[in-house]
Amino acid sequence: MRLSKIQALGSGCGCVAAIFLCSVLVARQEARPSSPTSGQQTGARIERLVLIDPAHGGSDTGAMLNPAIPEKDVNLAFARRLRQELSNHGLPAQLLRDEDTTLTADQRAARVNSEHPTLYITIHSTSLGSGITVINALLPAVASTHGLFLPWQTAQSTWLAQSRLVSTLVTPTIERWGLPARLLLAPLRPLNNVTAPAFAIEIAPMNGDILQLASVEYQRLISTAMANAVVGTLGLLPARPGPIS
Amino acid sequence: MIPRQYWIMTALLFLLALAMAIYVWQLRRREVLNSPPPATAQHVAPPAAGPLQQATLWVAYDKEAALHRERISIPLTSNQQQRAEELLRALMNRYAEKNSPHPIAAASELHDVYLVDPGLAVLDLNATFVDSQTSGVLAEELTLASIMETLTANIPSILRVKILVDGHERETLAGHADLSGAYDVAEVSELAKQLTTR
Ligand SMILES: [Zn+2]
Repeated sequence: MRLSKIQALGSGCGCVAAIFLCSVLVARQEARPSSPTSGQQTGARIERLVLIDPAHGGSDTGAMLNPAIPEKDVNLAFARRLRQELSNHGLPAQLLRDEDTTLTADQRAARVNSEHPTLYITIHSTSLGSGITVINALLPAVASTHGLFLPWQTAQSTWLAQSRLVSTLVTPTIERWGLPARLLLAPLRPLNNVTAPAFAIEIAPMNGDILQLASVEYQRLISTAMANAVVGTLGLLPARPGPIS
Repeated sequence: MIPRQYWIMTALLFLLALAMAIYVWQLRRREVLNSPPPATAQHVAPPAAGPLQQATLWVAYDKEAALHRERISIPLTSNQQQRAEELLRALMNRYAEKNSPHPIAAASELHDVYLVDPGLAVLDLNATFVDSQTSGVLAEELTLASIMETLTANIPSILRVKILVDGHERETLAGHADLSGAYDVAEVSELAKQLTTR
């Protein structure tokens, strides 16, 4: 009788532990955003990959550029065009979101860090300024590191030199396409948390008219300039880890 | 007779549960210890008007997306904490003017500045100021760089700046600029240079 009680207690504890482990696994699974969308999903790893992240999305509208144009939609339109332009150059590119979904900064960073892209570009748009601002991470002051682990807040630090090099080379190429371009540091997530060469761009209209951001011609000009600039610098970056297809 | 392995298994599970409880308790304790220091920092009441002194404001200009240095004369006290508050209030008054180059809501306020050794300034702004910010990387950068450069141009002993909103941590200023950590003013100076040279 006592044995069956102990057995019941033991199996009860085992069940609790199993439920705990399952819930952790499920929570981790739920925390993963939907897989990046791409025109060319294959099992084999490709040597170079640009991961494009249209910032904001879902309940996070970003800036309201005018009462009818939320930033999230403009970012997605630019991102889709940039993916197409890069594909035209034979460079594989994926979007972190290809629909109006909400992703937290942590979810975005986790996705990028598991994908090991050659380059990560996050896209914002604004009514302020003119042309394209190319942005590198301005990392917060972190008092201590944690042994073997990278502090999440400053995970980009190891890749910052590569990120800055690429941004420095990309900017003059954009200007050659007749677009004003400037370099900037910014405390912007998830750039801080990304373990890959990375930069953000913030796109502003050239003529002060916010509607220009929604025009096909301007989106095409920006994405053509960006794709040419990226293609010209990607050879400087290391290939992705793992077997190449 | 109860088999020995059941006792061992039960004891191990009990120890595991106990260890998890201690770990969670320690995490909570660490979080409490790491929370911002307002309770221990000394808060000084608003100052009486001091003698007029020259001070430097770094003012954001939205149209040019740039920072400009401006010299003003304001009453400044020698106490560094009060001095920081006076400088930031002068900057906010500049932004609240009718033809402001970087408009903010009229009810925008700086609650307090706490200077915490070594060299950390904790600024507590009100939600109106933050909520009325134009959302965007560049727009929010102009605000942050303007605040931090104004502080460090006049009080060089400030090395890091942390921003709270109504006494609480906030993830971003207006959807972009990360407010979760403290910022190194040397890094922000590098950013400010990029905003002054166009
Ligand atoms: Zn944005």
